[in-house]
Amino acid sequence: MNDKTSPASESTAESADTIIAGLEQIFSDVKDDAVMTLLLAAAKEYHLQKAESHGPDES
Amino acid sequence: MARTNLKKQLSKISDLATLPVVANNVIQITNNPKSSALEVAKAISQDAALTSRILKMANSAMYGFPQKITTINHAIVILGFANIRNLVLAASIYDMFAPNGQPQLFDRVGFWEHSLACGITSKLLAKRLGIKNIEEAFIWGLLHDLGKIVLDTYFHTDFAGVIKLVEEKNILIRDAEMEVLGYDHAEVGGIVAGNWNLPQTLIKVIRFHHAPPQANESMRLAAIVHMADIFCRAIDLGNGGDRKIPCMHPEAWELLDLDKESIKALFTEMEQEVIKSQAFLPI
Repeated sequence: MNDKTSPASESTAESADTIIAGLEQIFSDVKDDAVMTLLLAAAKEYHLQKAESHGPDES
Repeated sequence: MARTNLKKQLSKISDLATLPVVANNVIQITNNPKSSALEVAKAISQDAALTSRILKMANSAMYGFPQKITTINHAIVILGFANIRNLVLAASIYDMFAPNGQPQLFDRVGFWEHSLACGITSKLLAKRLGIKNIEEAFIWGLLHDLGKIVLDTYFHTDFAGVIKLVEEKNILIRDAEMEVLGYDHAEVGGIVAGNWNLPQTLIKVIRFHHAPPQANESMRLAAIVHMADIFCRAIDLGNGGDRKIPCMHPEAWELLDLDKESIKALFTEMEQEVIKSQAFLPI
């Protein structure tokens, strides 16, 4: 196992972090609602998987 | 703006926001069950630009017909009256309120991207729920926020106040509308759709997409658009005018009741279909 983080994976993690922070903000008023909590969890996983499959942002 | 002025304000919208003549004629003709395909084709053909737009939309990857549709008559045979009427509506209303390339407080490009994504998602949800004509669901989603674009066009200064309040307080656009105007885009959209003699189902969906149970017999259909709107916001498809998400209505959610994996699969399908429909509207 390679425990050293590459620049590419750092960039991917950073962009995923930005997406998650944005989602938390969008869902911040509905956190007590069970359905919306489920939706937030699904949206987070969806965006994370998408960010991982697309790799780092090269722009 | 006081609530007491609502009727006066909205009557002004009715006078200002009028559908183009050809679209209006097509609605009248398709509302009459005795009308023929020839009459519909003749009405559309009065407008060469609209004819070409309808053919382009009918041939877009969103429908995925293997053979090219080259005439309006052919399009009517393949798609049917209701779907042709919906294409005329989509093209005409988009043209009335298209982005004009100027920087605006209300993001029209984002608005139409969100509307298109809602149309596509409504269609996907309608399919899951076994709705007969899933193409109808597309127009419900596409036009659900009609009131926002009408407000931005005809009550620009008041609506700019709404957008500023959304940015200052980081609240839902609907809450800002209630605070600034005393009514919301759903009410405005419902009134305009009624004045345009749009189908009753579409009027109800536009009017009650934030409160599906109030749509009575059209509750299921309003719920589809309500859920589509929330799903699109969850994965950031377009821009509904705010950076918040409203709560899912429990009675709407009961219709689908998806688990996390199914929601993720739906998100993937939504995004794929949105990519396919890029040529549908010239956003």
